[in-house]
This record gives sequence, C-alpha cells and structure tokens, in this order.
Amino acid sequence: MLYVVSIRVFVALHELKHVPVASAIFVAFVSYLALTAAFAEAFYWTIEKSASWFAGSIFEWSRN
Amino acid sequence: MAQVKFVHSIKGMLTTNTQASSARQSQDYLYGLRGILAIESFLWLFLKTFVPAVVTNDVSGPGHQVIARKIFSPIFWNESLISSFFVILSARSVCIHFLQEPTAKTFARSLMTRPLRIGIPLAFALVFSISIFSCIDTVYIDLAAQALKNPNLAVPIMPSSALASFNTIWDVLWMVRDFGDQMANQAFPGTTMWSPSLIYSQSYTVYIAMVILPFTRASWHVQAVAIFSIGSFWFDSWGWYSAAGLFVADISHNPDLAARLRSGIKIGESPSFPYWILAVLSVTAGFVMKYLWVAVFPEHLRAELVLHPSLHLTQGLTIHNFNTGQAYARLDDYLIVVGILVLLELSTRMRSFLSSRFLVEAGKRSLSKHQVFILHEKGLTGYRPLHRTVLDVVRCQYQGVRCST
Repeated sequence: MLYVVSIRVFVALHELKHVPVASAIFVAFVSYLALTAAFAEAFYWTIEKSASWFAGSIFEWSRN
Repeated sequence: MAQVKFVHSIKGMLTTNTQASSARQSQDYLYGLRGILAIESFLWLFLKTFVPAVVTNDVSGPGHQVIARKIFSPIFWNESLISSFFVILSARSVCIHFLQEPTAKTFARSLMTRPLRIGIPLAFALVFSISIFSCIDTVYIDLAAQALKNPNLAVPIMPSSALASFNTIWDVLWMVRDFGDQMANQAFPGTTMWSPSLIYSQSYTVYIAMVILPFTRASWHVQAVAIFSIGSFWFDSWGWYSAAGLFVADISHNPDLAARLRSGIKIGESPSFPYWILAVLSVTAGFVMKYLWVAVFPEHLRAELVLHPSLHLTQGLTIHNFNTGQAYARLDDYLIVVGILVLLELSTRMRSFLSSRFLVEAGKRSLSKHQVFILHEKGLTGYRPLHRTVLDVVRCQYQGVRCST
C-alpha cells in the first residue's frame, strides 16, 4: 500500500501539483491508513483464514 | 463419504468448541498486544518512508524532527523494539495449545499446521509483491526519495527470473541464519521479510523446549530456562528471546509457577518481595538503556554487543562486523518485553484493557497488515492518468529532455 499507492500519491501531489511536502505527506498518510485497513481485512478473510482452515483440514485428513 | 467429511469440517469451522473458545478468550490479551504492535509498525513504516529523521539517526533533518525522534521513537516507533516484541510474543504464543493440552496430537497439530498457516500468506504476499514490482515502472520511488531526502527509500530488488522468484518464496521458511540477506527480504518493499522468517525459524527452538516442560518438575524450569538463556546469550543467538517467551507461557499455564509468581520472593522471615517490582524495574532499565542509545549515544547503538562473551572469544568477530546489516537480539528490548509480559501475567486490569475488541481484532490481522502495509496497486483507477503523467515527467527529467506538462 505504502510503496505502490501512497508514495505515488505523494509524488503526484508534490511534483505535479506543487503541493507543499507536509500536505502531500498528510494525504499520503490518509491513503495509507484507509487502504491498509481495507486490504488487510480482505487479506485476512480470504488468504489467512483459508490458509488456517486448509492447515487444520490437512492435519485432520492425515489422521484418517 | 467425502461429502460427509467436508460437511463435518465446515461445521467445525462454524461451531466453536466451548472449552477451546474459553481458553482462547483467556489469552485474548496477547492478540491485543499484537494489535498495539501492528499499529506501532504501521507508524514506523510510514515515518521511515516519509519523515526518516524521526526514525533514524542516519538521516539528517530539521531540529524538531530530531527532538521528536529522541523523545517519542523509543516508545512508539522503535524498529528493534517492535521486531523483538514480535519474536518473544510469538514464542509466548506458539506453545499455548500444547501447554494447555500436553498430548502428542496437539504437538503434531502445531508442527503440521504452522508452516501452512504462515507459509501460504507469506507466499501470496511475495507473489503479489514480485508480480507488481516486476510489471510497474518504479521511477516514482526514486523521485520520492529525492523529494523526501531519504536515501533509505529504495526500489525493491527483483529476482532475475521466474525460477529465481520461486526460490525466493520457497526460501523464506527454510532460512536458519542471515535472515536479512535473503532475496525475499530485498524483494519485499520496506525490507521487512526477515522478521516472519526469523520468527518461524525460532518457533522450532520453542517446539523442542516446550515438549519437556509439562513432564518435568516445575521448580526446575527456572534454572533450566536460565541456563539455556545464558548459553544463547553467550553467542547472541535468538534462543534467549524464545526461552523468555516460552517461560512466561509456562508461568501462565503451570499453576505451581503461577502461584509462586503471585506470592513473590520469600527471604527468611521478612515479608515477601513482589515480582511486579522486579518487572517494573526491568521495563524501566530497558527504557533507560533505550533512551541512552537513541537519544544520547546513537552512534554507539551497537556497543551493547560487548556484553556477549563469544564476540571477544571468537577470532575475527567484533561488535562492528557481527550480524551487520541485519537485526540482532538486543538486551534493552529484552528487558522491556519480558518485563511487560510478566506484568501482564500479574495484572488483570492490563489484561482486560488489551482484551478490548478493537485491539484484539487489530492483532488478529497483524500478519495481514504486515503484508498489505506495502502492497497492492488496485483501486485507484481514476488516479491512473495522473500517475502516467508523473511518470512521463520523471522519465523526461531522467533523460535530460525538456518537458513541459
């Protein structure tokens, strides 16, 4: 999130729109916070939960 | 038959075993603690990228940023404290199921499920990261590094081929030393992949030691853990960190040790000396040392390595070349983390604060957060044209061509 989106947001605002560094950093922070929260939730429910379920299932399967 | 098994496994997912659920709730404060660490690492990564002078002494910055670093960084965004906390907290957590129910089945389950539960999310994160950074133009990162005057902000180094990428991902859980040097660490933005790799490797120290604990005399655990800790402290391997986490878990689950912790140290006929004072002293000593290294002698940060005898007794090894460029187990972090974990065992108020729903849910997502702090470029389609223009500007600047937008 930080490297792919927030740094770009900063570069776009600061270099192209000539927004002062502090304001550009603030906008980058807001984007970082919102996107991290959203994508962490998605990653947790899709990948982490599935991996945990899969690991448990493999173990139960190995015992039968 | 297969369908019946599948339905049973789905039911297992949806219904919770009451005993397991109450055991889990009693340890929820550990998730809460992880939640606080996740918030701290979120802050650390942001500041390290955008305001480096408040994170490290290596980058110069305006006076107020330096003061902010000296006052706040040791508590709120110190890299070694956060990563050390995760290492010890992992050791504290991986043994819980086995110590609650010391059977062969629980042990086998821990050993079998952990590589998959950690390995699959890490592999996905690395696949996303490598695919994205192999496809996009990363000139904007160099431009940001110039604008922010941050020499540490670097473009991740990509593996040279698909096979090299596969090896990079495959290696993460097979490393046993030099975690910072692995390709996955270089390829993952922010170079933070050494941490899960180290944590996973250290869990095997815990697995071996935890099997012994429930079947031996509890009063001897203290001496055994102390001898093991001194042994690994000698070489400054990570074993003393893992031993500390395991020992706190042992205290939490062994009624004999828990009673001793609550009753304090009894010396002769005098009233017993409570352990919480020792824990507070440990945290205080740790923070005093931390402030000393961060605020007063930042150039001598590695000097505390002189405490490890093997550095003086091994030919060619000095505090300057020991584990250079990667994390090592520090004493100040150890004192802070162990003190806090012991205090948590003694204080129901602190435990109930950390068991608050927000912190627990944040802690459960800490691994996910670690992966996505940095990743993903989707979701900003409207921003695409702007980004293209920026890249064109940058490209022109780099090629020395006059370019007006």
